[in-house]
Amino acid sequence: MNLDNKYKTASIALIVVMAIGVLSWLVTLVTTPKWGIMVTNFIYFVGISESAIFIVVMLRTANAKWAKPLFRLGGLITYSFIPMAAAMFVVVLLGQGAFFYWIGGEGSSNPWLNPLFFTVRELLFFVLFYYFAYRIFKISMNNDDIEESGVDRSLLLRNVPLLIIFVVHQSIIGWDMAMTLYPHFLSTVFTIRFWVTNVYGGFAAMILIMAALKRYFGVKTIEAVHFFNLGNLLLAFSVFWIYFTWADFFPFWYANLPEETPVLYGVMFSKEFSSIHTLRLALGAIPFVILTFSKVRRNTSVLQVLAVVILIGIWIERYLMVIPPLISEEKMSYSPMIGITNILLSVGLLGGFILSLIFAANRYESIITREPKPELDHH
Amino acid sequence: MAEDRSVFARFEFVNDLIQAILDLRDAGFKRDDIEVFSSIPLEVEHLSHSKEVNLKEDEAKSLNEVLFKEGRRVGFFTRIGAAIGISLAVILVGIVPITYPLQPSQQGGMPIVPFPPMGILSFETMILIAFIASILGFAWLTRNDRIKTKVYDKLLTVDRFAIGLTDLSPDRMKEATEIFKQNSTEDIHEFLEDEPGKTQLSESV
Amino acid sequence: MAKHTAKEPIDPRLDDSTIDENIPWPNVNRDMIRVLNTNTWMYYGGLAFFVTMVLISAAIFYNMTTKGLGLLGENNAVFWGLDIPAFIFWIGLSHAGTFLSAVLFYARSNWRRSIYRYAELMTLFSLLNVFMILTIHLGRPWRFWFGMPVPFNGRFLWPSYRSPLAWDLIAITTYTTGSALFLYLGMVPDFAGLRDHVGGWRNKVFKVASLGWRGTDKEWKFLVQAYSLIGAMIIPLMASVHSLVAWDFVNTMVPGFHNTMFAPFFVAGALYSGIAGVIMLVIPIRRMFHLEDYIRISHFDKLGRLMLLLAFVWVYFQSIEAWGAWYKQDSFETFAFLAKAIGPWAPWYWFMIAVCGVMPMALFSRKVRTNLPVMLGGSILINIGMFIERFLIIVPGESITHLPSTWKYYVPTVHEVFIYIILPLSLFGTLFMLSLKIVPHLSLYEIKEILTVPMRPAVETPEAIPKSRAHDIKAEIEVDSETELFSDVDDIIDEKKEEGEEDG
Repeated sequence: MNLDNKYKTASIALIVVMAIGVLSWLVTLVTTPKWGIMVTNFIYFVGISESAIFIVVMLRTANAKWAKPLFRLGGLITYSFIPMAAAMFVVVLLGQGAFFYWIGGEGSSNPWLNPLFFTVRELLFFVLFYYFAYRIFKISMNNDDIEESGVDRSLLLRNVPLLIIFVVHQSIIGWDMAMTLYPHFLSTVFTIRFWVTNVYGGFAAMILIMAALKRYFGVKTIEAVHFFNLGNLLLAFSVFWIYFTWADFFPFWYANLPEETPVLYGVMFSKEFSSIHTLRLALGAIPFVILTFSKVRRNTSVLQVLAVVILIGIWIERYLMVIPPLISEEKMSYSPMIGITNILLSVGLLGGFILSLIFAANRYESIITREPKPELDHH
Repeated sequence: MAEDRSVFARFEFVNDLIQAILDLRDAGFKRDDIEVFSSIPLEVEHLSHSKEVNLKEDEAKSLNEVLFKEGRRVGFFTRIGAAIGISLAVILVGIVPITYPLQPSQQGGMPIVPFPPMGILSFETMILIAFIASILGFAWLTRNDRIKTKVYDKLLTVDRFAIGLTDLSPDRMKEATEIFKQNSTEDIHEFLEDEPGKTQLSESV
Repeated sequence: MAKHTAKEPIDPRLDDSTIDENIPWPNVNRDMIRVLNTNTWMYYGGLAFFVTMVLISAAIFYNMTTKGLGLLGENNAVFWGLDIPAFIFWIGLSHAGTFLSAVLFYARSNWRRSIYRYAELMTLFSLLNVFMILTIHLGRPWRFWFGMPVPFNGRFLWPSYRSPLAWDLIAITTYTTGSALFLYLGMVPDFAGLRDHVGGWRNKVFKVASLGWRGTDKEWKFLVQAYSLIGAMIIPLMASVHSLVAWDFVNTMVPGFHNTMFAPFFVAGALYSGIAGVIMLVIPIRRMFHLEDYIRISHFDKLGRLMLLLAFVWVYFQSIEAWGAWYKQDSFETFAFLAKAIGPWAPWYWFMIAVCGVMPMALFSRKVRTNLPVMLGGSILINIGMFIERFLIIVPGESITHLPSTWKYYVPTVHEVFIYIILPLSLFGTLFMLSLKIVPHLSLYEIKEILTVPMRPAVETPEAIPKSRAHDIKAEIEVDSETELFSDVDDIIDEKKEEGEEDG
């Protein structure tokens, strides 16, 4: 990898951070395995990175011409994370026996909770998603999505399959990696909440990454209007987040069924997690209130700060989905608020995410910095 | 000299109208005295996209000040309505059950003052009263008691534009009339303000 | 004219991609007046049909009130038969109006301008139907009054705010009020536009309705502000109303009801049936009143794409419902679903899947989306399927509850079909047809905003003339008669120049 000097220092630092994080986690495999934090980071980073291409394909399908400079960038974000996503995926698959109660020990007669079926469906949709994502990314790098054979054909062959597979893939990850951790618990809106929150985080991540690409890689095609429009979409998805979170809470509160309320109240009112939960709600509600002011959406700096707040909030939400049901497995030297391994691994994987972005941006610098081709007017 | 004259000028083309507004502003007419009539909302941003209209930055600003006069907004009424609506829900869901309490055991285990339904109903009543307040605010703000000319041209709702000026002295009215003529106005009407208002009966479409 | 690539043949139906922006503004006013005054056999025939069906259904309803509720098919287990599916169906239909007028307003979609008025009218009359159905379904209609949160209902009865049904009442009242106000607000300038050019009884109505509108800059400013604010508020309200209706079911323990995804499921289904409803209305209206200049084929192309997207969303939700029933491994939940899929309700279920899930995949083809008879037929089928969907959500779950001794099958009677299906449909049709004679069909000002604004062409002269100089030239032109003002300015300037040259 031929990196410019200015990125070499950063890359070396990030490699070190990542190595420390991963090694510290690997060490725990020998002592007290901490699978919860690995699963948390897996669903978080894979969800955010996959959302990037989902967002740009959604905008492209809606014929959002203002978003043309973003089409390449969304694909780049998803493409750059493929190696790390694959590595984390393999690790999680290998460790499934450690965190799924229904494998080996207790067992289950539920046909969905079958290790072979689990592996096959996860692998299938993982491969399918990245196949379509890679194809779309390659096209956007080669010729800026110019479709010589008409808009409808590309919709049919690439964009729509990617949109569908993203939704199905994220639904399956949400069910398998978060919901099924609670025995006999079902919430049908859980999976929708899961991937909508991912897309919400994807918008926030895109804002940050676009700002970084503009600043450090000189991508001039990104302008203030793009940040403003992404800010508008961020507001819309913050409303979606509030709506789906409420839809997942309210029926359980009202119905008060004993198989559902422990899942809810075990997080909301337990002494370990209640403060984190309150923090999480605040980190979801405050950006919504601030984003309602259009001056905020026109201010790129404030948008970036809000994006960071949103991403932290989503990480905490993933943490609260995964760790509480697994806490009994990791009780020894476990602390929900501070766990040195948790922090090191999470920061390390974040470092890896940024590192992969740097590598990809550096490799495709000449393409991402050039002007998009003018589009043929199909209408 | 008594400032009791009004003038009303009709234009066929919007760029004539725009130039007339700019000329009036250059001649010192205040933005609050210039009333612009049109059958669509005129937005400077939208108009300046056409090649016939070539506005400099200060001209666009001056035009915008006339077409979008700052002042009280409808949102003021909406916010008041929203606050009343939320209070209404708090009273209905919070205070009324306390006044007529039914114990939780009689209500399926629900608390006497349930907060999630209060949240839902606050949202609903907030929006209900905010709607009504917005419409009332709109009706209040658009009341035309300040308009002295009381003249109206039926072609304004078809494809014509117009400017109305009030509280003019005879000299200022002459000046305004000259500006209108320079900008190819179709029709000019001058009034004294105590003259009974009349509507111009232009040809119907 | 739609541009095309070398490989794609021109589809002549797509030549009319959007409204022709060169339509003169007076034509828009003239066409609206023409439409209000147009009386065709189609119109009168349709109105007569709907009025007749209303009268027949009203007679059947009266028969039910005198003979008793036993004429309906409801029983101890199935206490909600056709009434609640009808209620949900009509609430669902109302959502499309808000979507087209408010959501697409914020999305800056210009194509909505020609059709959103019909959608908003559909919203309003659907909600009136909802109130009618709710009142009838109570059995004792006066109980409606006791559900109102007012201290003077004579019984000192307050609704319980722990009940989703009480939230429904407030939510639907809010939504109806908001939709009516939103519709009215957008029509104020249009009432003014028509007031000035029509006579008779309509002139009096429009004079009152236009609130003295004159089209001043202040009036426009406040209208745009109010419209934007109400639009912004009505969008979350739309989602919350149907979510509350969904929570009527979710907050229970009836098998098949307690599904947390019902809230977004109902909202998405509402949009789906609503868009189909808009297509069902707009196609015959376009034909009846010859509005081809304003409602173009491309509008149906775009509505078709929306429907396709919503069909995918609908299939997704149906899949989650099926998956949830399978995953839960709960005998009651699974059995309630199997009763639909392979049990006594199976023919209805698979018909619904076919028309709402499989058939709309044809909308991938532009040929299908731009074929109006196909779109009309497809939309009707989709709405039938969506009604069946609401029926299958409610009735199978009720008929197969936790206690097998209470299981009871449900067959709607003729009375129910007339009261809950035909009466609302025909009342909606009647009100809609009548409104077409009063309400401006298209938003005059919104249409004119996307047409070419009347502009005096730029003056071209050999030397570069600054704008002020051009006005000096205009000032030299003596206006002898009114007709001079309408002459071509270029000709007059050329004339003056020639005179100047002759003079030396």
